[in-house]
Amino acid sequence: MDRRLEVTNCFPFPRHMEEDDIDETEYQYVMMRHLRNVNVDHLHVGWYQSNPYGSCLSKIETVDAQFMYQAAIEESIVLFYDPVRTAKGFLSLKAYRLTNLAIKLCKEGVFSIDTLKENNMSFDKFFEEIPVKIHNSYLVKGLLCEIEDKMAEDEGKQFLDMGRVSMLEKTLHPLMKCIDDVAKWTNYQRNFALKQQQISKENAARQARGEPPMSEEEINKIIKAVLPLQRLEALLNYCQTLNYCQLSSTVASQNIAKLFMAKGLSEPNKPERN
Amino acid sequence: MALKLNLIVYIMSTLNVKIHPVVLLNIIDSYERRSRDQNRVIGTLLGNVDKSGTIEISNSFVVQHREADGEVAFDIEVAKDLYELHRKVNPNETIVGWFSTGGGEVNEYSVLIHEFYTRETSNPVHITVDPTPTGISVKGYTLTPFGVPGRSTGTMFSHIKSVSITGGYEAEMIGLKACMSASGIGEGKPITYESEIDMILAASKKCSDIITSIVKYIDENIISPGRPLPSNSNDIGRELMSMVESIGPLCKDEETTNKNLNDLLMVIYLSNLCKTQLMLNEKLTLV
Repeated sequence: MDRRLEVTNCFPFPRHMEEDDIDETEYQYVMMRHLRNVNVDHLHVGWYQSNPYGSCLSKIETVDAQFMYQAAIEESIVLFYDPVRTAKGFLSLKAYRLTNLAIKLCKEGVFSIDTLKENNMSFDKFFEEIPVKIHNSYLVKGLLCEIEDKMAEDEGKQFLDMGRVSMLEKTLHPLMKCIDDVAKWTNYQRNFALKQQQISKENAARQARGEPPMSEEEINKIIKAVLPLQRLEALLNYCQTLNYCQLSSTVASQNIAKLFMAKGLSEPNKPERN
Repeated sequence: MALKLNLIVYIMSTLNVKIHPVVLLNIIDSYERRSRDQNRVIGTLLGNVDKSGTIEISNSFVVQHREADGEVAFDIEVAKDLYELHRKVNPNETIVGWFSTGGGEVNEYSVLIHEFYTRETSNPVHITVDPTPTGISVKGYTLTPFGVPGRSTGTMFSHIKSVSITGGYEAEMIGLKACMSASGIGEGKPITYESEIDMILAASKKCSDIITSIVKYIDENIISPGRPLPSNSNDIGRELMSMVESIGPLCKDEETTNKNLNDLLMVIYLSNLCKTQLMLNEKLTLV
């Protein structure tokens, strides 16, 4: 079977303003009706979002929205567009879906150690990336040819720009923030484990003295139970950190390549290799 | 009709129209999606007019209509509705004209539709986009009154000479480039760039081709004996000089390059370390 989803049209939503209250569902309904009248495909297959520096992927709102889309229409995707990378000359469009595992867990709504272990879930199994392929009709290709003829030679060549350090820096800032959060979470977990040890010690001592073990209330005084949402947030934070790590290492390695190229260019006396 | 248009061409050339490629793509798409019995698709063009009179068309939508027996049924309500919807998203765009595609040139129905747009905005432009055997022809028209003052007057469509179809935003043009290479325009086969390095590689190849052809030109026309120098040889020399100058100070300093390199390697190392750390941490906490 051809497992391909074709995205043929899109329309933007109005930006939310505090003062005026726009009914989004109504807007979407009217827009879709008009599009249908002029024979535009009107099956809802997902949504798109701008995603500067890859920062939106693992937000809880994104997961929420995508979960809703995929629950309604299974094939839905979310398309991320990175304006910053694109401004540097490299069109950055990425399609993602929640994995079946993530959907299952979201449906159950329980993110505890047990459910995660049971389903063999890990943070890198939350989203799956769908390869994006650009496809156009023949008439559009004809038009593109025409436009190409009229385009200036150096248009769309921003990717040759050397000054990428600022972008790398901006990718690293949120990465550091994410790592801080990861550190907080690990600290919290360490404390949690310590306190659990403390409790079991106490229980053992009490048992030796012939007393009943600690009651629920007493335990709750020592440690707070992990909120389910908290664990999901930690999971997503891991996911985001991984994402940033990958992004920054790609940017860095590409920068290295550019550096060597520039070096090659600026050494005029090197004998030419053939 | 054709004769009149030709006469008026030079008078109207002050009007500048810049069309974003996205608009043309949308128009082509709407043409391909027309109903079976429909020849022509028309719609509204949205955009801006700047102080110097340049009309920038940045968005469009299709409006249903029917034309037969000298009458046009044009859904004004839908046109207004859609305009309101678009305004909610982008309040800066206003109606600047209308487009039609398929069905060839301007005809008697066009005048009727143009009248409606004249009520919506002053001096609307009319863009026709038509696939012809030689390519996609994009033409602009505007309405000019003519006749004897005080006596019989009329209006006619006159050709806008300066219609640029590459007036998009920067990101739009980058997207277009990606579409072009995905359709195999320029390289001869479809390419989707997986990473920036591939793009740089392709660009370098192209660059080296260009340099080869420059060198060839110079060899043949400028330094070969017995040939008169081309009149613009000074300009060519200046351009070449500035090109050479521009790569001069890039990486003269060995130390800076190395420092840069070290930083980048550090980033790669640390981010990989961080990845490993995450994996380990998860495995440990889930045990």
